[in-house]
Amino acid sequence: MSWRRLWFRRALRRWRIVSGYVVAFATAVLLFYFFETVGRSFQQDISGYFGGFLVGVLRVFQGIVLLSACWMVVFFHQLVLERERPALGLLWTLGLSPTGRLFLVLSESLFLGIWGLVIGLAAGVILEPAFLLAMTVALDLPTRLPYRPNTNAILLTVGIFLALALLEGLVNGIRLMRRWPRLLFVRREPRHPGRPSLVASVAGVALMAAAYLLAVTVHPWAFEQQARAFAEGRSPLPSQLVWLVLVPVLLLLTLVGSWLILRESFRGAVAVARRTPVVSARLLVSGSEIAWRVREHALGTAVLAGLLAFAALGGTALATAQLQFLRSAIEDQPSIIEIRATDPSSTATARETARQLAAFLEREGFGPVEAYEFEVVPGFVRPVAGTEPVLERPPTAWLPPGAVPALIVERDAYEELRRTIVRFHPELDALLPSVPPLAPDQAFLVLQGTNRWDPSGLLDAPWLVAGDRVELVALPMRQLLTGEAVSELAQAIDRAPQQQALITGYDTYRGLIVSRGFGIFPFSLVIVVDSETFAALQRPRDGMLDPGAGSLLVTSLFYDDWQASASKLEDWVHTPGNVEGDVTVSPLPTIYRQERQNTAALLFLLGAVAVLFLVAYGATMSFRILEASWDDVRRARLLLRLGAAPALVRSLFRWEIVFLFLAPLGLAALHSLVAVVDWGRTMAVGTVLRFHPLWTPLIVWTSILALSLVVVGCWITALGQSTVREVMRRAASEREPE
Amino acid sequence: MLVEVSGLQKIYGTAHGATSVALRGVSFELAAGSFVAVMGPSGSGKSTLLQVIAGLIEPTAGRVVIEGRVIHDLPEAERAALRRRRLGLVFQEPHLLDGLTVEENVLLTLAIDRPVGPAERERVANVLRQLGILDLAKRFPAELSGGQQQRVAIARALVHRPALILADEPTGNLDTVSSARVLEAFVELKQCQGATLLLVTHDPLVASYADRVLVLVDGQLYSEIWRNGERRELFYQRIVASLGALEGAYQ
Repeated sequence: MSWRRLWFRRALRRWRIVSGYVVAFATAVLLFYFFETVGRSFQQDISGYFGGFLVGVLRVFQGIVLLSACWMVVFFHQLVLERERPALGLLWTLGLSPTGRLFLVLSESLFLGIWGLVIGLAAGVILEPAFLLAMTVALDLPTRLPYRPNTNAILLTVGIFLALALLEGLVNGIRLMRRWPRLLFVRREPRHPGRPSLVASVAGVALMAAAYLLAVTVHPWAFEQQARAFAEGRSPLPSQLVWLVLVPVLLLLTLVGSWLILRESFRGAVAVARRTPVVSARLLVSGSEIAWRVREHALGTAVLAGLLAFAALGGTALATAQLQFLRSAIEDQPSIIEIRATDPSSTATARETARQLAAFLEREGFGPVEAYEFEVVPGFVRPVAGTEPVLERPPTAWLPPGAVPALIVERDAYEELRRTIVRFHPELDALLPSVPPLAPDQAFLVLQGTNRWDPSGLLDAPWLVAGDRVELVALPMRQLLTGEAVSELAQAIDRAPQQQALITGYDTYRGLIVSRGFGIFPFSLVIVVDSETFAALQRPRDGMLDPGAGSLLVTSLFYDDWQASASKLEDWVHTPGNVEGDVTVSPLPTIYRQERQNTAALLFLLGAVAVLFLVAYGATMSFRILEASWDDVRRARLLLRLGAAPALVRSLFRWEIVFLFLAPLGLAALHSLVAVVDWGRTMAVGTVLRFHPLWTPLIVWTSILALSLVVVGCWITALGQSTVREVMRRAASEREPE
Repeated sequence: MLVEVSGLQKIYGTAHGATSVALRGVSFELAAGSFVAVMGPSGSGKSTLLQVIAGLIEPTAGRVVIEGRVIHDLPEAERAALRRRRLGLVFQEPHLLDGLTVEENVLLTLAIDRPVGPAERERVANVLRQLGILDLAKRFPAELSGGQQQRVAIARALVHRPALILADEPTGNLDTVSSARVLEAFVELKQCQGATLLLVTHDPLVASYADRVLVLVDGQLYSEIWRNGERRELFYQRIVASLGALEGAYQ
């Protein structure tokens, strides 16, 4: 029998001690796997619907989850090692070699990590369908996300977490190789929190006040300036620069201010309190100890409070931005409702849907409603050889290099649509480009965007210029592309018939009119062509992906006061039986609903990350409690020798644990309070909540946070109780080393 | 000489820049097979001396030579090998591993060096029998009294038949009968196997089992008391008298 076997046997007998680490590891694996597979399901099934936004957000969250998971796992392993210090110290004194110590920690880390990995992955595979179902139901997603056990996701999770366990075991093992774990012979000097500095205290308070003041005044102002710049077509750069400078300044001021307050002001308060005529044992003993510990961990506590507030602040910032998207989704829509059909056999149904919707709107008092019907051909455009693209377009998986998805419209239909839009919205006359008559094989490009959000500056960068020659490829389709159909399309593109055209003009429309309802297009480009070219592109031919599909039939409904109709319109569209088969009503209800779901999903995900932060926070605090417990033994012994009742000593230690647990949370709550005020002021820039308040996800988020806080509180309470019991036991049984 | 300690100095630093001198140039030698006790008031540096000799902490100055090798010049791996093969350490507290039985705790010392078999288990049983705790072999530390735990810790230090046993207040938590049993085990180990013992204690009665007593005061070697073949009772009286003289000198 070797010592490794003895150690392994011991670990199995003491599974309670290491179970926390295994559970933490499994939780981290579960969360990572959850985000990984949700991201993949979103990409495969509803990325079009969500316009890629949520997928991007998911990736960011996945990164945050991974970092938080690493943090949590590392801290839990530290906890295990902290508890194992006596045993490790003993092995060291018994002559265990440095490589033996490395092997011990590394093998333990890997062994426990593999257990956590297996449990986490098994839980992930079992619970993932339930997660997905809950998410799709809670967020009212249009499709039920099917769960597919994904080999790549499993391999990625296994690889990342095995590497984490290995790395962590190596780092801790090497640390243990180089120095011995203090325990058997502890020699500590008496602690003294030092004299507080009045100047530093005042500076800390001033810095925090400055940070808070900037947060509630300059931040909303900068946001408002940015929104105005977008709305008025000006460059938002100055206000963006202010925002960019403001954020790090805010972070720095908050961090330094918190640090100084924790470092100086608290021990100052304790020092002042101790000068009062009547002082209690609690103040004398615990006041000094807490002042010392708060000072010792001032920077860590400030960072911890900042990280906790980050969940709230980051959530606030993201929610604010998302709500601005929501507002844009509402306000950028002109009063046009589009009814589309992609299959020629659905034309009659589409016309009937348009008629019924128009009648409904008139019955509800929004009339008169005017209908305009026209056809478009979905496809893509790409420059032919010899053309130098000015702007590099982001490639998509199925498009050839340089190609951009586009809607192709016949020139007269476009001009008629334009005239109708301008009749209802004269202010758009200057914005909506007018296309001159076109000769055969000539084309005019209209890039559509929004006047509120153009982060990549696409609207100001002409891609093709007059004189360039392009090829137009029609890709009529009856369904949104998902899964395998996308790869089929990539192959079909090579076989698709082409039509070449000469660009005669280019212009930009800073507002949305058509096309956002079809999510396969990452952005909107309208190619206006002459009637002969349009007829050629409309004609079904061999080689097309979906030869049965025709051009899109679009019926636009125009009427006044569309905003007031939004909620009724949405209800009508989603009432079963009103819109059926191959007919789509877009864009307003769809876009609005999409943005609302994005917002709810964002809050949902923020809640999940906040829970992770809280668990990590609990791990950090547990680590500190256990670390401090070795010193508490001496204090307990001293107090008992002085005649203090054990109940008083226990109460003092519990009080210290509660205080040290709540201090960063209190600071984080203060930060979050300011963030909420900031949020309120930022949101006052515009009114968006009159349609659909987001109370449900907000309540869910807050409830999850509160619940997890309670769980972490219970965890710390239980740990604190057992630690205090252990401290008292040791204090009563051991003698002071010399 | 088995152990040579020369000019040993140890200064502890503090976070506030202050220093505390634990050992001030301590020098002495231990012959193989000797039994030496270290006595002195609290804070005189007894435990520090033991830790430095065991290679657990580094001295500020001076050196410790064990079996011709300067322990603080040895690489960590060799120092660890020296501890597990040639040294037996007993601490003020038992420091037993709570997930292992008594037998496994003692076996661990042997297993750290090489895989163990029936012969080693037999050796463990002998040591446990010698210390009167063989019937506790299958129990876990939590099921033992403080005195029983300390005897297990002593068994762990003796089982690999070390050349040098360093014991820091090994009988502090034991009753008189158990103390006597442990000390007799030490003496037997010395006589049968020629082991060398360096034992820190406050108790003159415990020190009277030794051949020689070193008295440390303020980190310095204040005096040495040799047992010149006299009976233990007489030696005990001489130790008490010397400590009384020391106290008088202090006052």
